[in-house]
Amino acid sequence: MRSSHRTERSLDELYRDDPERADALVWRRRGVLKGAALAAMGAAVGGAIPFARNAPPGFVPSALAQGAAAQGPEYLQMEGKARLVLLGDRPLNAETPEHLLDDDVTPAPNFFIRNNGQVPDAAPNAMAWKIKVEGEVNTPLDLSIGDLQQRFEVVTRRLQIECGGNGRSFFVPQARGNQWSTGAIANSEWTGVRLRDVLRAAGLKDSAKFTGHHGSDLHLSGNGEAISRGMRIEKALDEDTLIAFRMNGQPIPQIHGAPARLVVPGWPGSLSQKWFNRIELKAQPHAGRGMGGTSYRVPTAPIVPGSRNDGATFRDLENMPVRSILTNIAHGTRLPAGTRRIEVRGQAWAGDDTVRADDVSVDFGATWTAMTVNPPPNSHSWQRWRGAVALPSDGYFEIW
Amino acid sequence: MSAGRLLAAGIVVVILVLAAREHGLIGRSERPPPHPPTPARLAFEAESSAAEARAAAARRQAEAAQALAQAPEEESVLAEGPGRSETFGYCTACHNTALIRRSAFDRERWDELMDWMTEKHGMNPLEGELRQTIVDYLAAHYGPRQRGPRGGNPFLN
Repeated sequence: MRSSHRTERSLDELYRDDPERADALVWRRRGVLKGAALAAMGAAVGGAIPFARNAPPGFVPSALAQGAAAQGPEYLQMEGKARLVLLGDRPLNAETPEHLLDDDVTPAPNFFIRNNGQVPDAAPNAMAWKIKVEGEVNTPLDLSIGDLQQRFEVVTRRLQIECGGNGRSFFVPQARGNQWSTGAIANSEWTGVRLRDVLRAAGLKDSAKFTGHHGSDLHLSGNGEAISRGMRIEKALDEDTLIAFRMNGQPIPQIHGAPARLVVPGWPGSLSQKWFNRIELKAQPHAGRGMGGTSYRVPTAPIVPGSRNDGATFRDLENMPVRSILTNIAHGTRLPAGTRRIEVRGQAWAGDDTVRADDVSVDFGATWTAMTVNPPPNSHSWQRWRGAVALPSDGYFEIW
Repeated sequence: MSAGRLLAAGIVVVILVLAAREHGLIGRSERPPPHPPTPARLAFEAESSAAEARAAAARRQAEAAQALAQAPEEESVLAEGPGRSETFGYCTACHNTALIRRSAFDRERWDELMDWMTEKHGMNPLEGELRQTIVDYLAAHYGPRQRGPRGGNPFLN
């Protein structure tokens, strides 16, 4: 896992000056990577590639893929936040490098930032912040955070929040939206009341089949809400779906939705409405900004990748897919010569489900080593995996 | 001296003495020391100042996010070519150029995106020559990558 600024630039230059030659060198190999192409690639990553014979056709070393981005990463600089990778500043979006996700409970500075619109001004009095429950209920409610704390059981859980687009940058052809790598995930400790307790206090009518969520952030244009999504009532009644007002024992940071937000773990993060102030119960699916069409939705039958589609036959993305990240070794880490065994660990999660097994490969997927996976401390928390892998020699390796 | 005068003089003396004591001219005047703050008061003060600090931090974070969003961009951040000014002007009315620069679509998908932004995000409908200029520019400079960063798509090739 080595790279240097110089070689990344030279690959960039190669593409700019002569894309066909670069493609021939890097992409259009057939069969086994060997000879001059292998030597060139080894030179580019700064070391031999011991498992090159296993590399899939079209393989580009991760070290190069990252350096070959049109521009190097920009980083966020903000009080109270770590050095996240900035994806855009209007709207403000930033993702967490995987090695900053090594804590079992994600600290506030390391939490990824996802906004659809403007970040609202801080509320002057958090306890007086009101949340409305309305629509298909017998008794509409209008409760302050103070009321919620008094009337309902306050619970604390470790819960994942993952952006629905996490991992999008790996799609081919490219998909519309923020080009997240795998860092749009966090697993903090949330304190709040269960949404289902509040909904039951309002008295759900039989017709209450869907929710619609509202917050105080405005669309970038200033017109209307930034985003307003909703879900099936079953998820709203899950015991881990919370109206949260504390994160890791502290008030929620402003950028993460203070003073109250929904936490809908295991489903797309856009349901976890920040600056949450109203929930509607509905007989029909919600039609807010971010519902319908192709956004936050997936095909129900295979389609040609990248083809034009109006999403009419799509369904809403709900339970998020399984994913696993390596958190103790950063991209591009250079280990001492002679290293033959490395401890590896990371986090794994699978939406509403639990991860049973996690395997790691250092030879481009030819062989796999089983890791130990801890059970989650509570449902909807991510899970720690750890183990060790053997390296046959010095050289360039990727941990898959 | 009559008894009455004596009584009046006595009363005057008493009043004077009392007044002088009251004003600390004679006698010892000791103010009781202030009570030490109670634990409850200390806790209240600590919580109040912590709450103030949190509120200030929240304000600063909101301001920092807003300042980032308002950071001016130069047109030259986009690739040079015909249509750059039109593209920069039209798009950055709503979002910054990072969204464009990180995208890689063919012409048809860029074109489709113009309708999507109008339908979903309230963009002023983009039609005619301006649309053609902008979509041509985007397709020419932010077209699809040859392959993805991690290999090709086996279903397309």
